[in-house]
Amino acid sequence: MTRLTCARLRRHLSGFCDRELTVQEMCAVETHLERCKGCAREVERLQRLGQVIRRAATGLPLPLDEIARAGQATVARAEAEREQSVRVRMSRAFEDMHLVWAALAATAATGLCAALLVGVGYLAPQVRADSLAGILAALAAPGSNLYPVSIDERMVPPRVVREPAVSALVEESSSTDDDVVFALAAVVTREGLVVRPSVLRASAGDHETVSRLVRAVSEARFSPASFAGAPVAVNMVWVVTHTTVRGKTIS
Amino acid sequence: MSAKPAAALAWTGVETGEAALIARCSAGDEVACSDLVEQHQRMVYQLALHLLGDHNEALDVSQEVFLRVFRTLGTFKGQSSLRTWIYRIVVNQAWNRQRWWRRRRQGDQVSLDEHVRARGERAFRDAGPAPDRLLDQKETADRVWRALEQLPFEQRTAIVLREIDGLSYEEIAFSLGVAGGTVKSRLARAREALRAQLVDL
Repeated sequence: MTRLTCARLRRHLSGFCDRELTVQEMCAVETHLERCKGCAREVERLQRLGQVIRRAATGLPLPLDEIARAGQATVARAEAEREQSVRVRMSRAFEDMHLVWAALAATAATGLCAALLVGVGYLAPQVRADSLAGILAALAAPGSNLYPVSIDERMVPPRVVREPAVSALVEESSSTDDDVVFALAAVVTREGLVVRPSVLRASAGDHETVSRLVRAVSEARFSPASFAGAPVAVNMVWVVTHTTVRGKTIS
Repeated sequence: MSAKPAAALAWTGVETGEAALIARCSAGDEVACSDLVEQHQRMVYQLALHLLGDHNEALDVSQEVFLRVFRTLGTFKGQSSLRTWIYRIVVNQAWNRQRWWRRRRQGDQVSLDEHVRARGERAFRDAGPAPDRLLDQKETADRVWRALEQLPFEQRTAIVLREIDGLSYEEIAFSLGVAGGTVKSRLARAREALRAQLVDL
């Protein structure tokens, strides 16, 4: 930057006035200004502009009282914010460890009670049907799958949709000509399923045959019984018989 | 004509006393907070007033600035002097306020003229009993503020920080979060625009 043209120099005049050029650049600009009146006037104008701005700024009123009041209010607000901060409140809460231990013990006791309640609920056996709770539950929800009712004349009885395949089994179990009778009890649910089957009487057949008979009955499907238009679960009894009728030949 | 990005600067401008004050403020010492406010409140108010041109806004911004200072003092790592760091917060708050202001409350602005009328001129009032000179100075000041108000915010900030607050390019770059070269070009453009408006001064 030994020989500056006016156009190039003017790009640096702002930095020159602010004394923000390198030493080499400052020297080059000063050398140019010594011989160029136009650029020197430009520098004077920039410097004069700075003076005018600074003078305008010093003319503005400075309400020190208001500024001080605002400052005090800010400090007070910052202090209030700090007081209310979570960190400060937490540290204050842990200042007295007696309260902390009591709170921890209470929390632990509450947790233990909750665990006990859940455990009792989980481990307790089902309600017996003949207990007071069982009776109340049955009265509260008669005809539910859990508390089926007996069929009476006011109900529409269940109708078979899918017959159980029991005839062949009964014939199989009848090895002699004696009569065979099986009585089975079960519940026909509100969905028409056969659940909780049990054998009331079996006059013939081995254990396996009886089991197959029970399974066959379980696979039957019904349209459920209904009371006042609403489906109800009912207790039912099946009696399956195989009777041999002997005739006499009349000669 | 070197231009360094502001972020690359490593300043160690925090003095021992200032560091102690910062530590006490961070620990929540109310007296230290009061001291910090007392030391910088005048500078903060004046910069906000010069940038926004409104007394009430400047007071509000001053309060916001110090609240922000107290909330974020823990993040101050001494990469600049505390004063320059506060300058940066003032500029950011003033910029936010100006944007909000333009959208919603421009009609409520109390101009510097009204502020001066309400409180009188400080230097001019003390300048002596020459009424002609007082009037000239007032008119000149009015023209200067009008010209500054018409500058884009970035240019106005650069020229105010340089001419009124006397910050170096490096400090201005940190306060504005820009590179030194950007400061230089903003100052040049601001001066050019001001000279065009104040050509006869």
